[in-house]
Amino acid sequence: MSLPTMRCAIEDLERWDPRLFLEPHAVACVGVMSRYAGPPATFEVACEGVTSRWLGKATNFRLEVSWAEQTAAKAARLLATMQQKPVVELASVALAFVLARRLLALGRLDLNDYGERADYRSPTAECVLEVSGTEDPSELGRRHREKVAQALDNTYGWGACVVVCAFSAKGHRIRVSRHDPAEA
Amino acid sequence: MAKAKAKPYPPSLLELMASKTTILMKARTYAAMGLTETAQPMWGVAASFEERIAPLLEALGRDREAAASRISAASCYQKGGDLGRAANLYQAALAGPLRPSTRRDVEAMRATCLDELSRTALNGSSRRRGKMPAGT
Repeated sequence: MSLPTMRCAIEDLERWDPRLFLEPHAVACVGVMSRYAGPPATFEVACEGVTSRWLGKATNFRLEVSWAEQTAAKAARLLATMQQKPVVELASVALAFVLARRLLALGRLDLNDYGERADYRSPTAECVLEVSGTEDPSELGRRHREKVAQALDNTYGWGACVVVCAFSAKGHRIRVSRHDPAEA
Repeated sequence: MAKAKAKPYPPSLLELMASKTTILMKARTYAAMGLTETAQPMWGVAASFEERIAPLLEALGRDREAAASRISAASCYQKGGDLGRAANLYQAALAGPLRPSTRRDVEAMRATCLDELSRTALNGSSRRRGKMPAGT
């Protein structure tokens, strides 16, 4: 049986919420994806605890992300000026925002600064969003577990959504999970 | 617990939070891109938004969110180089209802800030401004 497929153009991010300044994230995402192959990039997405009308009873789906030539040109310039690790982090935030809107229905996200961490949260869903990214697919499981623990220890005592992206020549993967609050 | 009695966010507060998120996204993104000079003035603006937001959240019974807003304000002031304000806001956040792990984090952030403040104010040494390691 074929997996459900979600398709999006990365440029849609800016249109969804123009105030959020997501263009650099979208460009960074193209910068990372285009190092592996041309558009669209395909991600195998594994879900845990996610309830979605679109997803139904499925726990896995395919995310296809396309991009325009103009964005690819911006990405080339960005890659020439930025180190790889922050580019991967920005790229992962872009994909997390796609999933926050299309899959998790988190509504408008609020951002707080917390030392070195960005603290994304959905005031309407009373849920925090924890995001991470790597180019080492063997890191995915461990990184996801770490981020779940970190997210559930959030300042608000809220539930958490965790999105961890792994970019790899062997196939991009994303692990998405949703968790109830750690305390009553 | 206060959480159960929290009132809904009024549109004016959501608007304020959206404006803060916009400027904070810019500050963090520019800093991640290495454009620290561009990010520099944005930290102070984001912090001042947080200072306005915190008491409004408190008035709604959202005490933990108010504390988080003060932590965010302090963190932004610290990155913007306004260490005195940052230290005061960390202290104010510590007076709020923090979870034990958050309290530990904030105490550590405050200690770092005070250390930086004492080096800057007492020794006149220069400090990094607006530098932020990558990460979420």
